[in-house]
Amino acid sequence: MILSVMGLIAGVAGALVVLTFVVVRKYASLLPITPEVGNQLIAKSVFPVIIIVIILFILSFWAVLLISHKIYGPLYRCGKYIEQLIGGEKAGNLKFRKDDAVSELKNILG
Amino acid sequence: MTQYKNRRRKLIISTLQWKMILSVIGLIIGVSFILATALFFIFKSKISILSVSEEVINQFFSDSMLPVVITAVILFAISFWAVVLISHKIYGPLYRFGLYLKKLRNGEITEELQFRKHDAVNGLKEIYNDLRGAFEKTLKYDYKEMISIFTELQNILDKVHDKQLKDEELSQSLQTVCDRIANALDVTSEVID
Repeated sequence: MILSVMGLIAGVAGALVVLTFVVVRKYASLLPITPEVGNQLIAKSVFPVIIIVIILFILSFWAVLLISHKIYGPLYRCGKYIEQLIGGEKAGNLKFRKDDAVSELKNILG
Repeated sequence: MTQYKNRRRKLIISTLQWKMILSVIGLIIGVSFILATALFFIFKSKISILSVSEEVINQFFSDSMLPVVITAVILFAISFWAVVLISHKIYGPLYRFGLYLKKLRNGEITEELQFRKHDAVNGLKEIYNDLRGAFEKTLKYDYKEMISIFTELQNILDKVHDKQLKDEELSQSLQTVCDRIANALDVTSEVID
């Protein structure tokens, strides 16, 4: 799940960055500057963009990790709980946290 | 098929699935927005150094922003569809798992839980099927056996009442009943182990 979502974020962000560069390059030719200056302008912008991209991806990865924890954490607990039941051990009530993304399972179970 | 359609519809209105979709889409929009804004700021700061009038720079940015915004909107629509698909792969099997558990809780016999190949919930299927197997084995066997043992005990009681049983026969009959109860307990213990 993390890989799918991160891939999606990278795809969308990557496509936007590339498009922005293409558009800026195209419209830069309308500015009263030489093509060399235009190319230099784009080349100089690449480094700060890469740094921002790396920071944003680290932050996104952390956010996606949190989202996935809210789904798979309670699922793991649910699995362990059922294993306890199968093993004949005493299992208390299965509890989900308020923000867990599977707490609706309780509603399905009624 | 109707059930399948119903499941999809229910999932779509599910608050938690919406929450997940919105979180991920929010993340994608946030990252893209920050990135695009940062890009334009970087370009602006680089262009400002050149001897170009402010008016031309503003015109340049207003012209170049439109295609980026239009593409962003299209990309977000496609991402939304992709995130809905991803969420279906999580909440679809989860919904099925919940329904099967509910049936099991109500004492109904369920089929083996099956997930699709690309469903993003692993392990739960095996755990559920183990639980179902254990339940079925103990419940079915114990229930039938208990009925049979109870019938036999009543027969013994009737015979005792009519004084048809000698002490030795009574002892043997009770021993048979004890053996059957012990056997039922063994089956239950096996399942628990």
